Amino acid sequence: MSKRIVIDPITRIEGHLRIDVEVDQGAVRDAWSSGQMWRGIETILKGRDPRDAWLFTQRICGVCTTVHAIASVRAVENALGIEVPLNAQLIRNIIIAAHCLHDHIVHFYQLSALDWVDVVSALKADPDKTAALAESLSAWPRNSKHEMRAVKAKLTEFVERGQLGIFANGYWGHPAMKLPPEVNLLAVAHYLQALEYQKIANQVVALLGSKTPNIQNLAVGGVANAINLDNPATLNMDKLYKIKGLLEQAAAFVQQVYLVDLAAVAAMYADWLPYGKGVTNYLAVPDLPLDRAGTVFDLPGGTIFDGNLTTVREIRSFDDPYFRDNVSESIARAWYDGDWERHPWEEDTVPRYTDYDPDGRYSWVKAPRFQGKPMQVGPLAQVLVGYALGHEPIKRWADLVLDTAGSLAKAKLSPAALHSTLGRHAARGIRAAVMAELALKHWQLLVENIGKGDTAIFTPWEYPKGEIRGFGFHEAPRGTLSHWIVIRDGVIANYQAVVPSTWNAGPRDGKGQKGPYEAGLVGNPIADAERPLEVLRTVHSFDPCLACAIHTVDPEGKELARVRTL
Amino acid sequence: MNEESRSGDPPAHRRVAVVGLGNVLMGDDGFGPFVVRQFQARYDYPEWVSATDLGTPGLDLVPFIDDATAVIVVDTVKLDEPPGTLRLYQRDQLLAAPRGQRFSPHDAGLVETLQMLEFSGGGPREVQLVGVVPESCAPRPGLSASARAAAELALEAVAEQLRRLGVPLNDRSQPRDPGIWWEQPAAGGGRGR
Repeated sequence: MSKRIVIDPITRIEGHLRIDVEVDQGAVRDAWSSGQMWRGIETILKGRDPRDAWLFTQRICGVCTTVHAIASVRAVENALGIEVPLNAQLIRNIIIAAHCLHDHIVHFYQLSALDWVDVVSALKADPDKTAALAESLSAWPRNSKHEMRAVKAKLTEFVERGQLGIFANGYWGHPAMKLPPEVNLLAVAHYLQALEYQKIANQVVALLGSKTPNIQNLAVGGVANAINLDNPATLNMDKLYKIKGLLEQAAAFVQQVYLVDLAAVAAMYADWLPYGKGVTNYLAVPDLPLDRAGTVFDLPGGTIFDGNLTTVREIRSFDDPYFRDNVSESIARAWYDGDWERHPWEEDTVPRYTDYDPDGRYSWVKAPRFQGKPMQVGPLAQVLVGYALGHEPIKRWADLVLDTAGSLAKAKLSPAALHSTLGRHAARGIRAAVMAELALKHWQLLVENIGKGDTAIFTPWEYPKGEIRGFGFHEAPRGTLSHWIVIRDGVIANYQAVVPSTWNAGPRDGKGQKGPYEAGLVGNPIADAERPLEVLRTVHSFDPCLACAIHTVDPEGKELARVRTL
Repeated sequence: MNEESRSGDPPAHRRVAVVGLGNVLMGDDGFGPFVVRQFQARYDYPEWVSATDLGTPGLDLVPFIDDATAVIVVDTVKLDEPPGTLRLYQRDQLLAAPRGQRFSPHDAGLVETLQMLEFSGGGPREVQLVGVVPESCAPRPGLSASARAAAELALEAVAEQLRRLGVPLNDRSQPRDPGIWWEQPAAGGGRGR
């Protein structure tokens, strides 16, 4: 007999992401992913000055502010056909890399580790054994007995006060929780340390962006960071060295803690490696440009189809027609007026809500497609594309994680193991390690370029008469983000943002092809239908970001999420 | 389009933080940012007080409040009361609210941030939430009439709380432009500076 489980977080005023799964004989047989909120950025931007678009788009989503700002200025610059100065590229790149480090660290420790880590079990851990285990895995100086004893004492005190506070909503004692108490305690210790290091990474964004969230240093044509090495009010040597120090601290945490924890979790949950594969078409865009025009990049982008790495095709520039001409969105199963699959420049956004109907329309999210196919985006897509193209840092860090997890699990792990729920987590860590390295490289490039006497930060430009079109992409922490703009006589005539969670959380299309969340959930085991931890594991592994718009505190403590079994 | 730049300074000097939360693109959800920008424009306040429009920061709220002794938050609240109703909440009332299942980074809001800081052993001792019941949070920038009317009261409530905390607060001799850029009508094109 099959059962329908609905997970419907009633966050804030409207819900955001609703997942329905049909469970049969202890496993997911079918799944539906539904965005429960309409975002009308296109309607808000029409008729405005394209120079202001980035200010508005970075308010689409409170957590992804930086990434929308970057994609937006790139889209307008692409439409205008202008190149930004090298300093502007490098300053943007350091912001991108630091923001990514912050975001990936938070995702693993604060937002998803508790799907795998049982906090209550950590109370049974021997802190000295925990320290011994940690010291056998990593040279990280903060794995000492002293540190582990202090964390255990803190956790014990917290629980004895009769409330778990931040940990109150976990599925503690769930049969799918498998880590030994010592590993759980180690994870809690690193959860606390991660709070410090994500903040350190984000300080770099604040130093260059003058504020985060919502950076203020961008402009269509460059950046607003005046460079004068001797002036205390501008970007100077003092600030640059502070940035370097912060990046080095974040890099050490990623390489000595985050990656090691990932390998350990993957090894101890090796039984989970077969689950969560779903859509194995992958899309990533290149990022961290090394030249003014955006034709040489430090992070690779491209496509892979059917999980076959030999099908890799590279995306080579900010203006590559292979990306520009192959993206479309389908509204066949979404709550919009019409029934089409169109290129973003040709889209309209006319909401038309009908009831939730899993056999008809059931989401506010459109279904993006590349050459008509659903694509998985995110760190895994970039790592696989990089691996297939032989990108040296990606290959080196990916092999290290696979070898470490493999030796702990006493199994040989190949990149094929990455097509999975755990693989998405591993890829995020691999990407963070690569980013940490590249952030410091781009810092060095910036210092060298300024050292040559180049202080240019802005390219002047003018709007042409008539219509121009542009697109700008950015490989954001959650994956490929693209903004598409049509400008008529200097005014926005159309604007579409195709965001990573649209690619991953989108519904079926006109041909009935499932989106990546939906496909990734099929086959997942469900030990307890009342507590569908396994569904959360797979959904969280994509790093969902749909709840982008409304922010209302619910002080009466009304139910904020519910699990319904039908 | 000017935002408060002092918030980018190192946090060492900051002891009292005023933060406006909410999405400025979504009608009354922009209440918090609106009120905080009015506050910045009207009052002169010392270096150890920060006032920041933070949008919907999720856990990015942490660095703005973790070293503060007191925090005043302006936000919308979900209550069964008429639109424009203002309510004041204390830290313990917020922490007592039961939490549900979290899906995405955005669901980590004010309460989860406070809980996380509590577990890590830090965070502000004193938290006041000045909340308004929104009339409409449809995707269109700008406040409804009821929220706009409540904004003046909220501004006074923020000032009153700060004075109670011993913050010297003076009207600026020349009030600044609050810079509510999201309420500006679409103006059309131009050229790069």
